[in-house]
Amino acid sequence: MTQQQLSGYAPTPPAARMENHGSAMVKIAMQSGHDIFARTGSMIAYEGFIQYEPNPPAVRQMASQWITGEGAPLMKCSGDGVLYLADYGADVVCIHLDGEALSVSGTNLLALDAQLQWGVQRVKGMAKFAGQGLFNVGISGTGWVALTSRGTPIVVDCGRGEDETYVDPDALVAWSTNLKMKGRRSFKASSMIGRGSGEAYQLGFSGQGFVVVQPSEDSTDRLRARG
Amino acid sequence: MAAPLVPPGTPMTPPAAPVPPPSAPGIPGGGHPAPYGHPAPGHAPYGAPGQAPYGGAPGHGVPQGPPPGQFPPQAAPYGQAPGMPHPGQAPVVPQDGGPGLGVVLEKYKEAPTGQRWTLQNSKLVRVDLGIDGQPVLARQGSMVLYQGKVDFNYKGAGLRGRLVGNATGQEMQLMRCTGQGQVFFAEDSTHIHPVELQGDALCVSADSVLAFDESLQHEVRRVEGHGIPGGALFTLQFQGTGTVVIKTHGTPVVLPVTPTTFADANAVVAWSAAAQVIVSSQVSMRRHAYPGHSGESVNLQFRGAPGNFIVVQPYEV
Repeated sequence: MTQQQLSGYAPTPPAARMENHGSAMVKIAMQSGHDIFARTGSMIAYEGFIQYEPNPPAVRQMASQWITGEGAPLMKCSGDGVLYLADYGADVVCIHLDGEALSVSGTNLLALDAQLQWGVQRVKGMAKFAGQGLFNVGISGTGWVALTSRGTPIVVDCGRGEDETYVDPDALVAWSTNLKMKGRRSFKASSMIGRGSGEAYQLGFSGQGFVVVQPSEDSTDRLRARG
Repeated sequence: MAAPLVPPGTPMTPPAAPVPPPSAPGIPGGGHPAPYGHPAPGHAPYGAPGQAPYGGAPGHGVPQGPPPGQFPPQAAPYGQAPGMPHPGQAPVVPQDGGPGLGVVLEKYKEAPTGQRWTLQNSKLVRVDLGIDGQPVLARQGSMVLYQGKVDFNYKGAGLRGRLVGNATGQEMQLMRCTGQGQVFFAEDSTHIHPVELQGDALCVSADSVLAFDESLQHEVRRVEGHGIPGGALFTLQFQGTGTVVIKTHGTPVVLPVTPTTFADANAVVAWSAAAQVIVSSQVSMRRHAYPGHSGESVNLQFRGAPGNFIVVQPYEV
């Protein structure tokens, strides 16, 4: 059997803690003592000795807002080796936070360093409308974060002009923590009779910072839907 | 402390920082004990002799990164391991920082303005409504982001439009975007292609239209032919001056129309209206009677002057 066609996809030696392998896969170089919180069910392969602890107590406490009775959506991975994570072909973006802070939509968070500070908030006003509710994970500190995005994301600067930036909550991936956020309904009576524009609610952001948006409005949580 | 190539105070080290080659038998100096890789009784240490060392043999190219002083509170520096019994076998990976937030996100920045329609990346298009103040019609719910004062309203097709749309399957659920500002459209991370019409016409399947300028006229066109399930094929024809944004599942192929251009009726997304469409069906009385038939029963043949094109997506609806 010749593997010449496939050999180009062999992993490169890890050069950083989190790296992309292709566009839709993240490769995490694990070291014991440096744990990772990853989305439950996102592991696709690993090399080495890595242990998984679903629903760890630390996460259960932090994510008590987020959990909906099925347990926390994060698992703790510890050990030595290389861990590969993916979320059904979504693009993965690895970011190293260097004392910066970032808010990530719950469904778009793939993995984060356990040493980062993080907390879960429910976005006010949106929970009632956006179906399952929108959860926001605030992350700060120094370490790595992996986000998913269905399609190449776009980063939009909010501080341009006096107008606010409005985002479809289904397409929102991440935003800078210092932005002011408020829900906005553009819900008219006409949509009750089938004449809606399809855009019923948006999140408005104001202040200096950026918003990351994915080119897809499919916000279903594939990792969770699988159970 | 060993003399790492990177000064310990350097806040950030690019991952490709020149690090000493692997299997350096103990980087000189260093007073840190190596907790990692110590042969602990009871379990085989990771990377113990006899095991295939993770990350390849020594000299495989695993960068043995000296700690750039990134995690000061940690007592044990990774990648140092001067007292390790088997140097070079550790899965030593730089645990330092990569490029920061701003650098990572830089490549996803918004493309500069200037035109009315700007493709931001292959899956996202931005329209600047302020450039000539003309409203845009878009598929309902396809807005992902907007800046400025933009209003989204239902756009009805009218009674006749609804009847025609219903009968032909070429109906679109549209919304009308008016106001001043920039609107970003995307849907299901499909690939997006703005096509600018300058008085010419384009035939697009209604399912593949994402947005278009209100100045364009569109009507349902019938493709004649025998052997099509359902009697006939219908498409939308856009005409006038303005831009139509079409979406494809996957990277499409744009074929020039030659005397022998054929396309599957289910995969063809758009074609320039000057091309003539002929339905070429393989007529065979027994084509559904046996299991091995090709499944390709209705093909569209395109004919036209050079300069015409068709767009085919790798996805059959």
